Amino acid sequence: MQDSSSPNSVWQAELLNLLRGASGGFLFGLPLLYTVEVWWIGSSTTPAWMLLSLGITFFVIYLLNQSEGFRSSLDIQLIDALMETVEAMAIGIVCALLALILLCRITLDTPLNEALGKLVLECIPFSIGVALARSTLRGDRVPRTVKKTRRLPKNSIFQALIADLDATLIGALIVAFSIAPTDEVSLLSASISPLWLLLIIVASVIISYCIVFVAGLTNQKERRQQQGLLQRPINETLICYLVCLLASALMLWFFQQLSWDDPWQEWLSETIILGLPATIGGAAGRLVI
Amino acid sequence: MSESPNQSQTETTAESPKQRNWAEWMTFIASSSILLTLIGLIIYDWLLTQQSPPILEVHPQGVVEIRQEQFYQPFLIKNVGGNFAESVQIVASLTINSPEDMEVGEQQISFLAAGEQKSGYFIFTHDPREGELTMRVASYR
Repeated sequence: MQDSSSPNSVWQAELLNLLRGASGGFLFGLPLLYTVEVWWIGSSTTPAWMLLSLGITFFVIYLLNQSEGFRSSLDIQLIDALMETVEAMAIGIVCALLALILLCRITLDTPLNEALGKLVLECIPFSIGVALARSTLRGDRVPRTVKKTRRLPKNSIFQALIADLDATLIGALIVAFSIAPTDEVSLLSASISPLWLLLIIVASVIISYCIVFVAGLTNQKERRQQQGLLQRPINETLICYLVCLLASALMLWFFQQLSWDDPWQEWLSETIILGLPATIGGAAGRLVI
Repeated sequence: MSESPNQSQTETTAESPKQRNWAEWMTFIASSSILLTLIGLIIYDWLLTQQSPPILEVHPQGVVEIRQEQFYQPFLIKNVGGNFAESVQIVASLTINSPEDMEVGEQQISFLAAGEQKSGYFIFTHDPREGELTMRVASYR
């Protein structure tokens, strides 16, 4: 076991804090990314408005950091809150930039002012998500009684798996149900290449893993100790991702965004694109429900 | 990844205020750099971008493609002005022999930011290379 003050341990703890912040950012910020009006408003925003938006966001994050934050520390001295505000905004900016690149909203052809406008507007919910990471990813504010009732002695492996799938489905529905009927999914699908779809799959799995097994505060250890082949972190992440993809396809079919006459490529790309917010919702569901 | 050091660290830090360690200082320095870079880029954009109205240019681009006996004429539209344009309408007309024998196509681009360019196709039943093709931006909002 490493000493908690050793360089590796210090970096490990800090990396954990940053991943927790990023997970909170994706959880809060990604749904707003699936809004075409936000892309347009971002594209038409003037530099003065961008600076004003950043200033207002900084103030809001600072207020949130008085009681919240992405670090596990509850230290809320003035200087710490200010420094954590800078960090939360930087994490929000990086996450928003990655998400915008992932969904091809910022490419090498995007003019600078358009890219900056989109980034500034999208980094607001991401930064708020970072600032709320500690409380949202804590999993609970009260002792987990529900979790205990799930883990009955008989067939506990299957019951834990079914409970996880249940929570994944509920979380995926909460986040993706409001995105599925919109035109944004087909708009994104039309502009994203197969290679980019592979990147979205990889990003979905990594973000989901980070939210549940890296960023979660309270039940992370408990989750890692769950028995059974299907309950291992990577297996659970992959199974829940497949469930989210299935749920995404069904939601798109339910809202008549996809029909049986559509080519399979359209089913695949739209399902993967909706699968990203669904997976993040599913991961949050497993933490919270 | 071993969990115990992280868990113990997070638990202890949750209990009492502590000094920032060097990893946290590095995070703060990197974060400040990211935020300052973004602010710097916005100011750079503010100073250098000419805040002129949209100026829209459209012209044929590339070679005509023939697909199932129809002629696909690619085009490129670019906003070289300093402001965005919405609902940009492009009209293309192809005159083959006489003004009566004319094909007209329309396109609507929902949004074009300053400096942005978009491409698309007009589809004609006659070969645009054998007639007179004109393209123009009719309106924007």
